[in-house]
Parts: sequence; structure tokens; C-alpha cells
Amino acid sequence: MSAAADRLLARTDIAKAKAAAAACVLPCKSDPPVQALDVRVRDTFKGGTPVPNADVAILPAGGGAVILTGQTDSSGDVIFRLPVGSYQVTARKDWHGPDPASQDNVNVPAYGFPVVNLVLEEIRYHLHTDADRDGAVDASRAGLDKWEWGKGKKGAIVYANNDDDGGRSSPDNTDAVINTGNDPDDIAPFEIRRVGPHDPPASWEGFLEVAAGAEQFIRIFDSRSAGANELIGPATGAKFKLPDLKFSKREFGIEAVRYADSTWDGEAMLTFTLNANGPTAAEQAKFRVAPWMMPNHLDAATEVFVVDGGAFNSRYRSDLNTMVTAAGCTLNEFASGDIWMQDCMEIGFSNLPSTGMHAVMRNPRNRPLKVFAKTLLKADFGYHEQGSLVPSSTFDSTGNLECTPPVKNFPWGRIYFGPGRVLEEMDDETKAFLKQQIVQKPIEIDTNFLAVGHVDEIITFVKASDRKGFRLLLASPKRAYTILTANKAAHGSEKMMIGRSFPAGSAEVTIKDFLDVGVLGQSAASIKTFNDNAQASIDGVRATFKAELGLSEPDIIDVPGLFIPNADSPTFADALTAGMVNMLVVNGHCIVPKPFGPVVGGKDLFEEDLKSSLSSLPVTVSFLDDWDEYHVKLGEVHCSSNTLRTPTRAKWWEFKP
Amino acid sequence: MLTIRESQMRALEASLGAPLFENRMVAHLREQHPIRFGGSSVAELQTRVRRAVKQAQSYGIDSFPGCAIFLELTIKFGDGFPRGFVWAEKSLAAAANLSGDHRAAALLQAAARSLDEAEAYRAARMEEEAATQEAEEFAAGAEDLEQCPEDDEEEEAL
Repeated sequence: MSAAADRLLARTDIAKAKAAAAACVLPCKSDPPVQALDVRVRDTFKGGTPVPNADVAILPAGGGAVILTGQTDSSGDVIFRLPVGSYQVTARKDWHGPDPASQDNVNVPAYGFPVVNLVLEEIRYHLHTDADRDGAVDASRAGLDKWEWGKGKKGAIVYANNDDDGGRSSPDNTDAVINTGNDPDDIAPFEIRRVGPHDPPASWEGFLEVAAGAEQFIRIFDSRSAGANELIGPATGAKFKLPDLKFSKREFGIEAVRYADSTWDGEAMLTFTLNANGPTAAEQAKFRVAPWMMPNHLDAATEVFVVDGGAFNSRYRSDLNTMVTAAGCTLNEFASGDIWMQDCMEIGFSNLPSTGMHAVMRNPRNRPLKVFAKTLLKADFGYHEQGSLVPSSTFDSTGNLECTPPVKNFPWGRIYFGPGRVLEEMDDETKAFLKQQIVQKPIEIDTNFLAVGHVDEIITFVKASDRKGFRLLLASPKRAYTILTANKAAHGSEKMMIGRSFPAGSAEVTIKDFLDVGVLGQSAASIKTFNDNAQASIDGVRATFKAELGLSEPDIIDVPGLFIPNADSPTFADALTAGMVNMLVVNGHCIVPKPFGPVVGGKDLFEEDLKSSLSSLPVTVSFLDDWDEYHVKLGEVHCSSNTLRTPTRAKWWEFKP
Repeated sequence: MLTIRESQMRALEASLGAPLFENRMVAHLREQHPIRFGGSSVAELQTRVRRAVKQAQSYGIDSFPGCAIFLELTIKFGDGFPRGFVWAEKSLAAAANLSGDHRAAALLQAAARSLDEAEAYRAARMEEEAATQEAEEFAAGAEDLEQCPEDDEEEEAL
């Protein structure tokens, strides 16, 4: 029966009893007195909302065995018929406090119908994350347990917090505390918020937990302040019991120990479980680590790095400094005997909704410059290592790792690299790592015809104001032969590679002799055949880029260049003339290896051809002589340098894989 | 020996007890409905009791307990009771051939059923609202929950 009906019946019973007694004016048998108790349970936090289905018990005053029990109806009320006496009234309900609510010494007099008001307030705790990726923890809890790509979708993001805000010369995510400086800003927030005004009973317990094994990839801190300690992570395990639930809101911090890679898909599910002295509830929130991303040659550059080889490359560094400065960059030099600055690291970036940082990857290239990348580690400049240093192949060098400009469906371009060849394969872990970053889906380029095998030897991109916003530049032996052949009759006696030599000897040769006789002990016919084969390989690269990037012929510029068999492995190719496409592109300035092509009328025909090809584009072209320092060692300007580019504030989570 | 029949005895008791009944009902109203009638004068409450008794008698309910029931029903459902309450009118019509006490009891049971039906409807509505609210809370994280209107009861707490 409803409390309202029962209340009416109790009242009328009492009224009837009083009325009946009034009728007994003569000696007559009177009924015993009738009395009742009206128990009302309300949630004052909810503005006095009735608490239905609360379990109400009637005990003797001061406690003892339960006399009567009942349950409140939707009005939050329940009526009891009781003998005259003094009672204790209690009420409880799952997920409500106090447990129980109680009022003692409730007197129920004859013909009385007292009211007892008890307060039970709902207590809930909920997980809240920045699932809508706006930099602030959301009020909404919808969709926390999913991670979806795309604009307007849900899913919280966490940093691979590998910069060094704490000044420890070690990435912040390698210790079990939140470090000083900006480190708290790199820690993604999440909160447990209570609904209800009061602390729950002490018997309630809360737990945070990640799937077994996931604690190796993420770390949860007890706050987002410097000095906060790890609660879940490599040092403490996968589960944490909250010391108490005496809070209306508690903020936690979360970081990733690493990026997604071959061992981790980059997602972690956090579970919050509440044990409310019997009933339990669990909520989950999914996090995804922000990917490591690569800039492309069109992105703004601020610094260029080069190895200080002493007198060996002092002239080169001086000339490079002039050109780099003109491009609005500073040149930073690092002393080493390993001259290939391009190959020792890739400077990328990573973004949270609220912030971004550089992050340099030390690739698995086991040569002296392997120590350089870590020297860049500092506040807001992360450092991470990928792959094993042993074994290491030429394809592990980061001259073999570049990124295209933005193209359709890939707003931050696509990573490309040469995967290598038998016994010289690119490191599997690094390849898996690059693939797991998702947003710049890698393209594998067949560079196996090259001795060094790096993509930068034959491919680069420069800015354009039309079409797709860029041009793909490809090394072209065919273009070089076209120029040479066209000038053979009129200028056959003019020379190319003037004053240039390789360890095998002088490379200086006339146009006619190069085409008819050969150079460096190689016959003209064999060199032609070799270059035709190189061109065929490059044509394959051309086809790959056309297919993957949606390019057509007007998007591609052929850059004249000649190849010659490698001295030690003659089936593989080295650049004969300096590889112009192996240029450094900074802020629209193309710093191009001086090719030492055929000179006619005082002009290098290869240089003129490139300048002509780029003349309609918003770029400048400067030629830098790198022959003795780098070219003869099988590299060029790009190989000698590395570039720090301004990170894009990429909303990578809006990407649709 | 003077023999008084039962009916004569009840009539005698009624006539003698009427003032006592009225006084007890006035006290009852003050005790059980203190917010509503605590400020009313004895005369006002007497008028109310007398009006209820008169109405009850018009439906053939003439015992003190029957009148007490009717008085409570008028307080619960309003002075115009039972007019306009379909369930009450049906109950009185169905109990036309019963004694006044039975008619009052039937009317009270019909009232209880009516309140139970209202409670069932209210419970179902609250369940729907709770589901909607939970969904909204889930989406909006609203923590300021709407205040539900209190029941129309007005008794003071202990």
C-alpha cells in the first residue's frame, strides 16, 4: 500500500478510535488506542527529493532487535502502526549516506501520529576526463570508455611526457614523480567527482586500475602538481586503492611512458571501481597517447644543426651559415667525427589539446652521433629512442626518413622511408613505431638501387603556390642525359665536374667524352645503362608517389643528376654529379649541393635547369659546394644537416584513419 | 425492569456524546493537521466538523466513526468531497444498500485505492524521469538536481 493511502487509513483509524470512544458515554467496551508513525526520507542535497525504496527499520529506543521494517514508496514515506512507546527509527539505501540515517527516542503516544524526517543523501563518484579534447576536464561523462578518431569525437589524450622540465637530463616520464617547471602542464588531467554533499561511510572503497601490463606504458599520479607521486605505473603496479573518499573532487594526473609502438597500441583503459559497502559500480575511461609526428620541408625552420669537423669542413660551415642565416635560421654546430648530422635523429613533435612540444627521436644508428639527439633534451623538448642499436643498417639513418607536405586525407603529410634490403633492413621496431603513430601513415619507397639507400638522395619537396601547394622533386638521370645530349654537338668540348675528383681519380670530363667514352674508368655505355636502370628505379618511386599522394605529372619536377656504380658494391648507385635533390629546404630557401654539371658559357647547365624549373615557385635557390666534404663521402647538403622546425599545433585527434 | 433496546442505547449515547465527539474531532484536527488547522479557532473547527457531519449524514453515514472517516476524507480531498471524484461517487452508489458504517468503510477503501493508483502512476513517472535525468547527467554532468515538489502533507516533524 502506498504511504499516502496508509497515512489516510491510519488517520481515519485514529479518528475512528477517538470517535468510538466519544460514543461510549455509558460504560461500554472501548477499543484500545490506535497510533502510528509517519517516516519520511528525503535527500536534502536534491532539494528535499523523496528517497524511494529506502529500507526503514523500527527498533526499541536505544537500539535492540528490529521490531518492524518497511520500505519507502515513491513519495519517500512509509507508515507504521505501533504500540504506544519510544522507538529508534533507521533508514538506509544503497549509494546513500549516512548508512544508516537514524533518529532515536521517537515517542509514539496514544492516538498519536508523529512524523519522523530522516535524511539520506545520494553519494556517487564519477570519472571525468578531457574526452572532448578541449584542454579541460569535461562535466559530461558520455563516451569516456571509447576512443574515437575524428572531429567532435570523444577520447582523452595523454602525452608521452619525454621532455625534461625537471632539469634532470633525463625525460620526465622516466621517473615516478611529476617534475618541476612546466612538467605539470604535460600531465593530462582526470578527476573523480562526487555527487552529493557529504563524505560517504568509511566502509566505502575506491580503486583505480588499468589492465594488467598497461602499467608499463602509462603512469598515474596522485595530483597534477610537481612532486606528485606515481599511483599506478611501472614502479607501483596496475591497481591503486584510494586512501579515502573524503573529497568532492580529486584531480589526478596521467602521462604515457612511451609512444605507441610495436608493443603497445597506444591506448589504455582506466577503471574506477567503487565498493559501497556491498553494491559496486565501475566506470571506465580510455586514454590514447599523442603520436609522435614529423614536420615536412615546408614547415617553418628555426635552427639548422651541422657537425663541426674542424678544418675539414670549416669553409663549408661558413658558407652554410651564410645561407642558413639568410633563410632566417641559426646554425648550431656540434663537434664530432661523425659528419652525417641528418642521419642521427629526427626532430618531431607531439601535441596535447592544451600544449605541444618538440620531441627528438634517436634512431637505431650505431655511430658516434647517436649521443647528439639527447643533447637537445630540455624543457618542452622531448627525447625518445626507437629500435636497437645492434644491428644497425644504413636504412636506419634518418636521411632515410622524411615526411611529405600535407596531402588529401593526410593533413600532416605522410612519412616515407626506404625499408631496406636483405641483410640491410630498416629496423623493424622503428618501422612498427612509425606505423603506430597512425596520422602520417608511412609510405615505403624502394631505394634499393642506391648504395646508401636514403630517400633524401632522390626525393625532396618544395613549396608551390598552386596545385597541391608543393612540388615533388625527383633525381633524374634521364633529365641529365637530355641536357648533355642536347649540348653535345654545339658544346661537346665543354667540361663537367671541372676540378672535381673522387678517390678513384679525376672526374673532370668533357660533355662529348662523357657521352662517348666514359669517366672514372667506366665506359660511356655502361654508365648510360647504369643510369637508365637508376632512372627505372626512380620511375618506380614516381609511380608510388603518384598513387599514394594523388600526384600528377605537373606536380613533379625532374632534377638532373647522374649516378655511378659504388666502388665497393658496383650494383648499387652513388651520385656522380652532386645530387641537387639532396638539398636543404628551410623557409623557402633551397640550399642546393653545387652539382658541378656541364659548364657552357660560364653557366652550369644542371644548375640552370633546376633554377628554371623552380623559377615560378615561391622559393630561392642557392648552390653550396659540398663536393670534397660530403659528396665524395656519398652524402650532400641535406645529409650534413638537421633542422628544427616549428611544430604544427596539429589537432591530430581529428584525423580519420 | 426497564429494558433499553440496543438501538435506543446507541441513540442515547449519540445524543449524549455529540458534544464530546465534536470536541475530540476539533482536538484531532489540531493534533493531526497542526500546520493547516493549528491557527484555526475552536469555532472555525467546530463549523468544519459540523459541516462534515452534515455532509456525511446526507450520504447516510451517521455514526461517529463513520463521520470521523468522512471528516478525514474531506480534509484529504477538499470540502467539496465527494463531488467530482468519480471513484467516490461510484463507491457511494455501489454501497447504497449498505449501512452507514459500511458505506463509510467502502468509501475509505475506495479512497485508499485511488491514492494507491496515484502512487503507482507517480512511481512510474519518477522512474521515467530518473532514467531521463541519469541520461542527461551522464551527458552534461549536471550535479544540480531539480528539486522535486514535496507531497501535500504538512505535518511537523518531531
